Amino acid sequence: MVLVEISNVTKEFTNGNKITHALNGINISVEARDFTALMGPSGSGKSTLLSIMGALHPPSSGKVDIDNIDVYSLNNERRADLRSIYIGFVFQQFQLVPYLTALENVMLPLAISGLSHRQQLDKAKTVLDKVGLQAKYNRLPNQLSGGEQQRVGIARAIVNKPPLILADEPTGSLDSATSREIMDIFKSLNEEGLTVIIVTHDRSNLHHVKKVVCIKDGKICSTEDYRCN
Amino acid sequence: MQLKDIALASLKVRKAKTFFLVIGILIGVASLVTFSTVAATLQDEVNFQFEEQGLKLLVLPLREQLSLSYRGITVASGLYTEKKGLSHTILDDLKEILREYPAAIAPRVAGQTNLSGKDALLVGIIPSEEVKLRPWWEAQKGSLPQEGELLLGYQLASKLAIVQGDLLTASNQILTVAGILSETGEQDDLMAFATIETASRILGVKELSFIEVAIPLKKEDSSKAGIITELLREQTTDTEVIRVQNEVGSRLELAESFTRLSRVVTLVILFTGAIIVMVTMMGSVHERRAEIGAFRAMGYRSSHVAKIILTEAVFVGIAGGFSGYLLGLLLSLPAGRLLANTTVRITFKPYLFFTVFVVALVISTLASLYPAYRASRLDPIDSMRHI
Repeated sequence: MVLVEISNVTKEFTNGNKITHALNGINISVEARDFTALMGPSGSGKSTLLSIMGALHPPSSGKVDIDNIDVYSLNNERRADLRSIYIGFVFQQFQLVPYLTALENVMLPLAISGLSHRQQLDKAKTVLDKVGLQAKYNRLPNQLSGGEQQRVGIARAIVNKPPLILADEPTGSLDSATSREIMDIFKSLNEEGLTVIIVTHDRSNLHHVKKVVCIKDGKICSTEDYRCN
Repeated sequence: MQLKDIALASLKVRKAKTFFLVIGILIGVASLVTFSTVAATLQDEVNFQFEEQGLKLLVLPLREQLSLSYRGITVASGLYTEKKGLSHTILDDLKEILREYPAAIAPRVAGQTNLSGKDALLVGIIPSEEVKLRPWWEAQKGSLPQEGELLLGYQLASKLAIVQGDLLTASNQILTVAGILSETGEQDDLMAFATIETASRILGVKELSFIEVAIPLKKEDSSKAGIITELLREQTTDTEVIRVQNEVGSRLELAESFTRLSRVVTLVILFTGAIIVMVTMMGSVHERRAEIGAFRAMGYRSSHVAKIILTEAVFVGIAGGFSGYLLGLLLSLPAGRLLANTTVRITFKPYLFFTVFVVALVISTLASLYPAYRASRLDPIDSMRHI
């Protein structure tokens, strides 16, 4: 079953009179339970593509379907609802709220879910336990290592049980050992049935993925080709 | 975790910004409370004195002030030309105009006369009205004057060596001294009083010299003093209506001026406070772009983001309102002494307390509307680039 269908997507940025074509006619289908890596050199358009997939940034043209929902036919608020239900984001810089504890950061997506405080706590603790942070519920982000912060970021992304995880350079700020741990978490999440799409430079991360999409100059140069870069 | 928890946590961690936000509301609220308390104290004083003294007015014949100039140089000013006296019919007019009020209307004729060879000021009165105006009048001996009788002030009686029952002559008429007033310490001590008819006959006048009007006002009606004065000015012709500027009048003027000034000052300070809140809140939104971008990526609607900012504004309003209320009450003590020469008594006034909180919340929320709008319109991708 296709979870994400990207059809002929283009994205242009205008800077004064200069038009930059970040994406040129991208077509990708991501099956449910896929673990896909978007690879490419810096500036190739992979992060732009991820944000378009994530219903964060409308394309200049083309269509993005998630679970057969035409994402950009929805208004802003409906797109926000779609993100809340379908997508969990993981960022390179973790994007944790610095004044909230690990537990509170993980509870953030639940704050708009209507769940009771008790239900939120239970869910947040469950996912923090899952990423191995059961002893660090009440730590602030600056009291956690980079790897631990990214685990909190992953826990936050999955706490709502979205079917799709989008990760933008999730190991970009981590050392190789910690990167492996984080990729292991993504792999186990994928094995549990989540669809994972990551943007990465790091070829060592490709050991975990099922499919690689290479992007260069805003175009797909190949799929399942580990040597494209 | 709810949106209010995020707002509260954000305020707690950004202590300096929160301090400025609260200060922005606090200064406006404190001034509102201080000025309101002092103004209310002044008004209470005036109200109390009103209940004791009421409104006093003099209705005089119209006078015209002349200024004599010669080639642009004023050589004499303040010359008055007094027209004829007041007609007796004006009494009916006044009674009609003031029919809603328990007014004492005391007409007078006044003039100098000679009482058994000595000069004296004779005042014609309606005794029954006069005692309403001067409840402290007490005849030491005898009674109030009837036709052909006199009531003498204490000092005048002493000067003339007169006792009750003696006879005096004035303008070839023989008058009986019906009574002598106890000493009042006022001008009354030097005057002789007769009925209007008697005094008019002795002084050879047909019209009234002036009318004194006294209206007891309850404190809740004290604001009517100005209205009544204006009413009399508008509805009587060829008269001059003067409000007797006693202690109450000057305090009333002070209270009214202070209230007007305090309203202007409070509005300016509240506006300044609102600007402080808006600028600080804008700074906070700018600083939190990445955080807001993350919220949006998590599925927060733009309205959720706006709600977080506005909830912060509500917390700031509550904190600023409460602390401003307490500070304002404390400041009203020295402010009362310095600005209005009065002693403020601090009391809890639910109406003021409620008003202050509404004002604090409204100012804080209104000032945060634009920052909240800006926050809700932030592009999540652009925002998250600012890490």
